[in-house]
Amino acid sequence: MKAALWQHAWRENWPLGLGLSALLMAYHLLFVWMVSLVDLGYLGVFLKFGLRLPLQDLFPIPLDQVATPLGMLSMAWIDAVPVLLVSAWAVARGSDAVSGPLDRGELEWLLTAGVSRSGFLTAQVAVAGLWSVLLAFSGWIGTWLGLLWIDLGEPVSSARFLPAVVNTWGTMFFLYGFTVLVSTWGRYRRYTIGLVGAVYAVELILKVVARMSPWKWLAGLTFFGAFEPAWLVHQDQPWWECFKYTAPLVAGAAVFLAGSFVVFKRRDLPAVV
Amino acid sequence: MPVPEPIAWTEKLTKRYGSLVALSRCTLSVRPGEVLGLLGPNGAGKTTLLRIWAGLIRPSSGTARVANWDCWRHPARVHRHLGYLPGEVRLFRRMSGRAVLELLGRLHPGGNVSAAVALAQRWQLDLSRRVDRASSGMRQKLALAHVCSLDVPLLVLDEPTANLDPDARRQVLEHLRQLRHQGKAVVFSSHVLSEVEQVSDRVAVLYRGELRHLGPLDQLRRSYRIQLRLAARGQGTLQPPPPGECRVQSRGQGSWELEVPRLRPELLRWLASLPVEEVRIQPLALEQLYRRVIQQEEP
Repeated sequence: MKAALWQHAWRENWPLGLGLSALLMAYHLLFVWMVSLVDLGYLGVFLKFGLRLPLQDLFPIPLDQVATPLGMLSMAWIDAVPVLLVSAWAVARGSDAVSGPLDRGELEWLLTAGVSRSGFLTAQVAVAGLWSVLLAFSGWIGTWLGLLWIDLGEPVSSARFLPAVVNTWGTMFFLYGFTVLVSTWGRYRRYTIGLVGAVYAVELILKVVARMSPWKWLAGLTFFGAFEPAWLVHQDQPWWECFKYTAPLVAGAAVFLAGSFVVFKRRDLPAVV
Repeated sequence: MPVPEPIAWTEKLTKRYGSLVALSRCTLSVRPGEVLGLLGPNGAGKTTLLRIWAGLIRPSSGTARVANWDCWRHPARVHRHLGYLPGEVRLFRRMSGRAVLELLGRLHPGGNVSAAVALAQRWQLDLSRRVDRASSGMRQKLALAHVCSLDVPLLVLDEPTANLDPDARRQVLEHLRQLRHQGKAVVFSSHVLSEVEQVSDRVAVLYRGELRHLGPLDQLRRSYRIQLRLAARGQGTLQPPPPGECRVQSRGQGSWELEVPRLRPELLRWLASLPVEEVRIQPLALEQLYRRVIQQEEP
């Protein structure tokens, strides 16, 4: 493996990875501070009597647990902001695996400079995989710092959030793997992002419908069905048990990435238009 | 002097995209110290051929080899012997020229960063400028500085002088001549016939995916075109020229056009014997050959 290739992959990844990690960490830190400002007693009453039943089904944990410091903090992991941040990272980096550099006319330079296709993709996936771990952990670091500095009235262990880290990482890596597969097929990055975005929207809708309707089985059709970081925070089991819930996501990502190597190895690389 | 073995060759190389045949049973080779010019109209299959040699496209059938390595099965080994310049040079837009030369020079097994930088400076490139702020000509020069500095026996260049000003073109063509003197083989495609004529030892003409012509240019350089108009008394008939390869065509109204491989004394004597009213003798340019080849009826 060539050092220059790995350095190049690192250079391509770090600005977005570092930026999103900082945002995610800041968001979770701020969330701890916001929780410290909320009157949890009043919130509990509102959630129990103020929300209509279908909306209550949207919560992954019982409402009486939501109105606790641990419950509130666990909800941060399924909030729109962190979910969008990790999804943006997965789609941005995944689409830049092959169709991005192919579209920009960079890929042909790398692949005619003695870099094998598998070597190129390995460097891309390995560096992006490392950043995905850092990104998932940055949220936990934000929570940990918040709990260190801010008093929530009752003790909350930051270790309770490790299952959420693992589950978030698994979901992000699954989406990354899928995007890489689409990227290895495609010629233009914008088409890769468009296709993955459409699939993402459908999967998200399936998750919401599965939650709010009697058709709970729909959750089995979407990868968001395995995305349950808030629920995992509340399970009384060793934190490594969360791997059981995340394993299908990681296995899916592995299948997508293996497929990506096969597709990339066999495909033609057309001239830049 | 023994003829060196080819460094790269293709055999019955074919590439199909569905029903479209981009390249059809193309067989050719290039030897060390030889410049092979590749001509053909747009869509003739030149880029397809060069990208197959670069290992970027899989042939539908036939083989393409460089230094005896199959270009599709062993691209990494092929690239140890080959430098490739794509037709549309984009490069890494967020990097400076120097960073591009360093990245590619460090990656390529035959890379030589200091030689590439020296070549770029000789071509008056501002290496501190980011690629996305450089003109297309500057990007082309930057790419050429990398490719031409590689320590490899074969360069495959897809329109290397595109986007270059006349002075830069001259410099690049001069550099290609130097590379040939160093014993390197160069395959390059171009739409500028005069460039191919200046630099190439042999020329290949592709048309609609078929290799229509492959031959040395020194033969062409010795050939002449003779245009003559006979006086009224001789119009309508032309005494047969002396034996030898000679292409004769009537242009009507007593005008004739001949293409001859050499100006032999017997040919000049034959010309002198004709009732000629007007005669023009000029070297046969590559353009004539090219037009004749691409205007051939399809078999």
